[in-house]
Amino acid sequence: MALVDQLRERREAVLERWLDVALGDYPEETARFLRTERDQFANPVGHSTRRGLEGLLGWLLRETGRDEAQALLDGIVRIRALQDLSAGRALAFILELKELIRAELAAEIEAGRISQEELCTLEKRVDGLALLAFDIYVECREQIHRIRLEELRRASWAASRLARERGLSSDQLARQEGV
Amino acid sequence: MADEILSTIDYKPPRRRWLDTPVEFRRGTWCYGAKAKSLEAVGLPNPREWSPDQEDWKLPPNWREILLEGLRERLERFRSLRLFMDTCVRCGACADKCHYYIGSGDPKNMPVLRAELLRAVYRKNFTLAGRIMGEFVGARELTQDVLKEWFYYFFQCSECRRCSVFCPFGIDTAELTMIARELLNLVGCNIDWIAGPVANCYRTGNHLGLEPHAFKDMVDFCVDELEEVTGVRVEPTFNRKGAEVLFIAPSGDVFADPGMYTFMGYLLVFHEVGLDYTLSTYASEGGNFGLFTSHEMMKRLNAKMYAEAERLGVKWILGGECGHMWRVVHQYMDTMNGPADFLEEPVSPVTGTKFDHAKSTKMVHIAEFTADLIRHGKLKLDPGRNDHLRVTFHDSCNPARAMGLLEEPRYIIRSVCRHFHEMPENTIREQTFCCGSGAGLNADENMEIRLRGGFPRANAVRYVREKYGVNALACLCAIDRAVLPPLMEYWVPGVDVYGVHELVGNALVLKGEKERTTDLRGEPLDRTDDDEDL
Ligand code: SF4
Ligand code: SF4
Repeated sequence: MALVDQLRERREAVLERWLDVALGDYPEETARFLRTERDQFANPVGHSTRRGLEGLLGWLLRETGRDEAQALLDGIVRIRALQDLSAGRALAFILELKELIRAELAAEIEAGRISQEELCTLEKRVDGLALLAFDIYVECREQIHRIRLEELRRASWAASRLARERGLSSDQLARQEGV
Repeated sequence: MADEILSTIDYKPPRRRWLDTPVEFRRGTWCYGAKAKSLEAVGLPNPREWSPDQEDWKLPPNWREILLEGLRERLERFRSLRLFMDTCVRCGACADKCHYYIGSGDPKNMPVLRAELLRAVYRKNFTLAGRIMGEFVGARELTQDVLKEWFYYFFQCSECRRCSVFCPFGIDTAELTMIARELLNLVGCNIDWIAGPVANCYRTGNHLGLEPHAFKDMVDFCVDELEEVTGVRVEPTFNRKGAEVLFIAPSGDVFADPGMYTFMGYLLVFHEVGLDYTLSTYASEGGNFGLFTSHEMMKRLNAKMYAEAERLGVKWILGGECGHMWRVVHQYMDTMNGPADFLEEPVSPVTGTKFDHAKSTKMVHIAEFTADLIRHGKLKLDPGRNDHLRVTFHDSCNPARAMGLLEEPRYIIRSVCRHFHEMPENTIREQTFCCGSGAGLNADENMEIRLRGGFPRANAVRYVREKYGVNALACLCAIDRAVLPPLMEYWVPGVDVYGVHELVGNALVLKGEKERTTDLRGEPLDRTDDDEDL
């Protein structure tokens, strides 16, 4: 368990570097703001990202269940699914953790104090997170479409009620009323 | 294997200076362009079929001259515009205060950069330094790319004025957005979600374009529903000459779900105190999308309220829970279409209270009216009938920042609910976060922008939900009632949206009513016997 112990010890450093990676997807001035403004209401994106990454690191070390990982990922992915990031870019930060860990522990790996096997196990867990994140991302995108449809229904609520009364389809009515 | 593939892909595109990055019209972020028939209906220039994501916007050949001349005229007409153009010291105090910036991370959503889009063109064309030194002093030619950028970012500002609260010079980016949109309208570049309602409102008096009988149908429907829940039949009248008060609500309260429950609340209050009022099927819209189009259009659409009040011979006007309508009434109506000398200074016929602040506009906000009734003990209230709701209150931008209506809604909510929890201080009152869909941006095609922009608001709701189990988000604006439900669904499932007067309607004990088993929505009541939780 040398790897887990090492990571636990360097948790803060890894977290800060991981945060740099995730926030690096935003323009420079934004990344600075997201990193430095600590009020969670003034800076919900930065706060959620930090809190999420912190939790995910803990999850990787503790091996708790899928539900917890899901909730932690949701806090970050739900935001990124909406922003000007391609799907790949929105989720890349998860996979980039692998590289980051290898870099952070380079000396120990070189010296053979951390086994390849241990590294592989951890990296598989990171891959697992990435797949889970992908599911969440897709679900968020689908939800956005569902919400759009639902809103159309709500907005034309009156139109469809009147349509029923006048025996028109709501489409016909919408065209007639210009809504 | 996966690693090998990934390592060949560069996820991070190269950084570019913001001035050099042209806008990309990605689906979900922009609204459809104004249709020809919407512009024709009110005589706005350059009606045509076009789409913002296409290369050719079908602008008039002299579009550049039109815009620059338009800007020149407005610099002369509005002293504030020139001041706002010249005074910004780029201190950055406003930069991270815009919900669209906070939610999107796009620097051009910083109020200071949003304004800079206009300012750079101003510098180039109207200042000596800009003409001579160009880019060195942040001056910029007006090109088609710049025009497209205006369209993109000025239709990503909800004119909420949160940024202005933080500016040491009081620069109001919302006012700059209004001017920019006015300019865009000179060459036919409005969005249809604004141009459509404007055309409808001009033609039939409301945004949906519904005609008088449809308006009456909907009100009758509310009356029937109310009778079912309360056993009392309320009797609103329409276009009745000689009524004391003309009541005007946003049409969303009559036609949309859940706004209509708020409308039911109004009807119950009026019935209970025996108010001598009438509705108008012509002034059937409190909202005014002219505000999001141009000063002239705002004036035209606003004028119908006074015209109708004069025609009916009422004494004064009472207005419903609308957001931007109050911005228009409070800040512009009096100078645009007032003073309304043919009306009387509003006095509550029930309590005798004089609404001095409305001396000139002759128009009173329903929250003021109802708070005054409660204060004088004129309403019998059973707040236990809202026990199934743990309520928080979203200050809608316009009532909060454009008219300072902060205490009345809270006073009402505390009187009609026993479980009320405020959101954190820096997200309410003057600092309230916009719903993300104001100023005509409540279309559905730009849902992503709306959900991004609404995130700071939703985040604060989530906090009180986790901390106190809040399940009801009360608000004072019809657009809020339409757009907060989807926002909650995405960010904070389990929170429903209510108008303040819907909560009043639940709690109001009517003379002669039957025992209520449900709220106005038909949800079962759930009286808790524990202590109040205010
Ligand atoms: S008025 Fe509101 S939406 Fe517009 S820039 Fe300011 S904070 Fe942003
Ligand atoms: S706060 Fe005011 S002066 Fe400072 S950058 Fe913003 S608009 Fe300019």
